[in-house]
Amino acid sequence: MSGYLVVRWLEVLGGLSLVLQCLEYWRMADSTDPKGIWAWQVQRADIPNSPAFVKAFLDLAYQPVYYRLQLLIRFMAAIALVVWGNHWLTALLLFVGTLLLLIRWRGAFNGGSDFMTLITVSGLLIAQGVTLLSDEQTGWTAGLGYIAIQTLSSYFVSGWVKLKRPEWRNGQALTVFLNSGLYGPLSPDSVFRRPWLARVCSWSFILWEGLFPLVVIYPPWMGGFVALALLFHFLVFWFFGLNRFFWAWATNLSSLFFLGHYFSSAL
Amino acid sequence: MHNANHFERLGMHILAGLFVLYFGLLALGMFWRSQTVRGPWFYLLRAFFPNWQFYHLVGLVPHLYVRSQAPDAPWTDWRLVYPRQQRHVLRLFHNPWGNRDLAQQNLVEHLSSDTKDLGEGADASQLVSYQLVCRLAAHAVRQHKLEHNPTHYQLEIRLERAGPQGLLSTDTVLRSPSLKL
Repeated sequence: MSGYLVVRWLEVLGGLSLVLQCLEYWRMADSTDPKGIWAWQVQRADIPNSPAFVKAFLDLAYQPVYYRLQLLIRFMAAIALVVWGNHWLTALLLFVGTLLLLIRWRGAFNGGSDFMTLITVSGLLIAQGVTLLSDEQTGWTAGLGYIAIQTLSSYFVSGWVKLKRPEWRNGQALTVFLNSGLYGPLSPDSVFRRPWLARVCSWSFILWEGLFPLVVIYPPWMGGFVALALLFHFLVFWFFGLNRFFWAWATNLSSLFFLGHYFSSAL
Repeated sequence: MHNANHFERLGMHILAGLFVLYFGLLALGMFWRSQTVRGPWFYLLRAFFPNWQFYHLVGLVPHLYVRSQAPDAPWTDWRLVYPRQQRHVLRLFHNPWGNRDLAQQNLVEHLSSDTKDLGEGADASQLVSYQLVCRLAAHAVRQHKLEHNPTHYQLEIRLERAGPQGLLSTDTVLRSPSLKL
């Protein structure tokens, strides 16, 4: 895959992912209003009193009208990313907007997808920052390299940490988690209640996730691993309702093509 | 020219070595327990330090139960507040209520973790997570109209263990006083 395509994949899917997030935040903005569950007048106690200007700034930034304005700016910056590509102003707005949203939701709204989104916008900012200091190619090398290492780490850790657990090795964990999913519980005759099938699925996930870094060393496997990754994230959405995970990871998978090409051409 | 190529290749080999070393250390890190870093800013900015450990532990899961009371009426039965939605493929693109419900369950899990950190018998009412879960419980009572015109509600956090065939154990770890709706 060419460098241009890798970058456009990141920009277009990353922008789309951010647009979808902004629309969801907008729809549920009443949850953060003074009468909502996540009312700032309660949540502001999370913020340390010192330095005082930070708390004063956040008090202002999280007033309902300014919170919605932030979402609007983030939405427009995401559209700009899709249409015109990465620019230092776009990258900065997306990074700051993501940071403010994370603090507003006590560090994370949707867990892993927030972490992956932060990695995307950090990568975009790194690419712009390094470009300012050197050249565009070095900038993208730094930005995509950062995203790729974090993306590989996410699969690697997620896979091997399951291997440590007996309930994952015997397949029971899969059934338990599927029962607790947003669209659960499993029907009484679900195939995932069959212990042998749950065990086969569990081991497939563990090995596939744990061996993911190998694609960088052996790039011919890249297409297959990435296609499996997209299918895996779709299944995570299908069973657990985690739609943001699909888009956040789909965005950053592009960086793996870059890293694979980088290593194979140099070694 | 030859020397420049040589140094470039050497640099790439070092980079590849660092790549292998990084994943080696990452693997080792999973086998020893390190101290948990704490602090209000660390908590709010924890997204910068993701641990990527998803769905790895089957254990006790905190669940929120609520009940309500109308004037001169007995309490209703306890009712589980847990995210459940209808599946639809279009939710891949737009799923605000599903994500909000999952965030509510995360809130319950944070309260459970915070009360555990406080220790047995300590007053949880000053915790931000407690106050937010109270708002969640009140919202659930209003949303589901557990009975006509309730004026008070109460919440419980129960730690529950599930097996492949269903619930195995339940233990109440926190019960609020009667709260005004």
